[in-house]
Amino acid sequence: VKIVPFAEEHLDAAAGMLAAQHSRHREAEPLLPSEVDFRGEIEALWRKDGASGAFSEDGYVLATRLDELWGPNAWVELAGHAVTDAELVRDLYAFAAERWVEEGRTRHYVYVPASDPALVDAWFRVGFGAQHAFGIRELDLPDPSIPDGVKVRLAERGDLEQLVEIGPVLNEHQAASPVFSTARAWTEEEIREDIEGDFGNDELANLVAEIDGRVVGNFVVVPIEMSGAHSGLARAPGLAHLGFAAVLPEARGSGADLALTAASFAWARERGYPAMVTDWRVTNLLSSRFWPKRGFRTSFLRLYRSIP
Amino acid sequence: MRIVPFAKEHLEPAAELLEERHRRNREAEPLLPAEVDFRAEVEALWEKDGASGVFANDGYLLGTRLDESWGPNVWIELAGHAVRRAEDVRDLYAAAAAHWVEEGRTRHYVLVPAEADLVDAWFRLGFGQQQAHGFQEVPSETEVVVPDGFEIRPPDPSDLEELVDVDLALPRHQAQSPVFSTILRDSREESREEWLKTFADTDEEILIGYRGSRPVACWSIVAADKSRHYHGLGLPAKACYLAFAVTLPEARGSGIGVALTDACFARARELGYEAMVTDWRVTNLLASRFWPKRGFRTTFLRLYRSIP
Repeated sequence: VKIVPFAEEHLDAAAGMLAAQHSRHREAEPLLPSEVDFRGEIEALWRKDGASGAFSEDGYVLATRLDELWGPNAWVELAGHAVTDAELVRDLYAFAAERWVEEGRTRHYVYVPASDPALVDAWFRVGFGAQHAFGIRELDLPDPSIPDGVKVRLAERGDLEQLVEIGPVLNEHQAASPVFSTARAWTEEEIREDIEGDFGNDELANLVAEIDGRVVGNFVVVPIEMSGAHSGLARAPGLAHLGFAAVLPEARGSGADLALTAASFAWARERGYPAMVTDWRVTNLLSSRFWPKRGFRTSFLRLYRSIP
Repeated sequence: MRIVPFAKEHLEPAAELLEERHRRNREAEPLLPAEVDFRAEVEALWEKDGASGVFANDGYLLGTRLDESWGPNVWIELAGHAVRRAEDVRDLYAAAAAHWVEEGRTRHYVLVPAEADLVDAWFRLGFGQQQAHGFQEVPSETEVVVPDGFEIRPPDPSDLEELVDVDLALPRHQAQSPVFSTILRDSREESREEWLKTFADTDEEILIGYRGSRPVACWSIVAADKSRHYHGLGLPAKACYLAFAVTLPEARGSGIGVALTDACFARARELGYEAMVTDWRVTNLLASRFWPKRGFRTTFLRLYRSIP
């Protein structure tokens, strides 16, 4: 296989390969977008800071760089690779990673279509483990039943301090084993400001679950266009995005999460959304079990390898 | 699931769980040994430096520590975990890893029998593939076809410097992308000393591929129980270990590697071995494609996760 450094002249050919890969992906997951500017997606990556990669007649891998919160990194985004034969991705990665590691970029992230087990396995066999999942589902499915004793409603200004209390819960859970996330913890002030900014915005649903008059859980549903992560190949226009979901540790198992999920689906359905996306850490035992049971099908996996 | 720290009182039930797992593994790979002292396997780990883990009614997980060349590590050896349901291993790891990471041990290695659902459970904890261990029967007869211009014979001490070149080719290959191994032996002096010791006295059967008068490849076999990798429940009866195999870059693709492998099978049969085991870096593209084609069945995998 002749592999060369990715260059401007490869954009058109890479776009063709990405279109073919996405078409296969859509056969497995029809909710993914049908109209994608593949060349535009790859070109946008190619123009980014730290872009470099590998190209051959049958595939390409192209990484960019995110900020240092992710360590000295190389990110292979949603449009960052396509191959006609899964095994080839190992050769392309070998070629591209040599430069990344020479540059000191030793933390490697890649988004992979989850419907292609051979491709996921090929990345697994160059040392990558599962880190994050994108999920998608229709909204014309039966909702989870709402358990007795849990009341769900839209948040009000009077809930602000209780919401500020719930705000850090997800990060705290994910900083612990087995996720060990190093995501920066928001300050109380940042959380308060973020929540206050959402009040009065009719485009989103800030839902709370109450048990015995106390707010114990908070889900936020927004248009997918407000999501930074669900973009490009993962963004079919007009879908809803479940962007935040947290329940206080002491209320887990109470059914508050089921009630909030049902309310999120109902809110989105009433506004005409046909489907919803969300995402979760695969290493988060609670969420990685909860969301698939709520009907979300994994559309993309983010895999991770650290060297060493 | 009620999970508690692993303690001496759990040795007996852990041995039973391990026996159950091993019985399943033997159905898939009959070369695995029938007679194993499961309690002794688990107890030997429990007595080791840095041993700690967790226990539940349907599973256990026990890590030990290897030297610092593996980083600040936890090693879950072949007898270091067994579960009745693959998914449970994620809860056990979550409970055990909290302690390991608190101790600063952030590089986690686990040897996993090649059971698809168990391997997948570890993948969903962020582990990627690193090393594979393959087993196969030694054929009763092997025809060795040496490519034109090559010859296979034992090493000649007068070729010491060329043999050093061959010896160093493997660590040099594996230091590169996409293996990025940090286990380096690239000092000529160290290699020279090893060869001199080998010429004086060795348990190994060493075969050298010569092109003309120049050594270009080296294969060796040794009794499998001489290796630290193969013992207890990972040691087939009457097995030899194909412990070393390397071809100089300029001789790769010539067919000398296949010829040397066949010569090792023939020699192993002469020596009375009935099984052969070997191992390779899964991230080594050449090795991970070569050995399965030679008939080695992946029997267990070493997976790796670095935090972060």
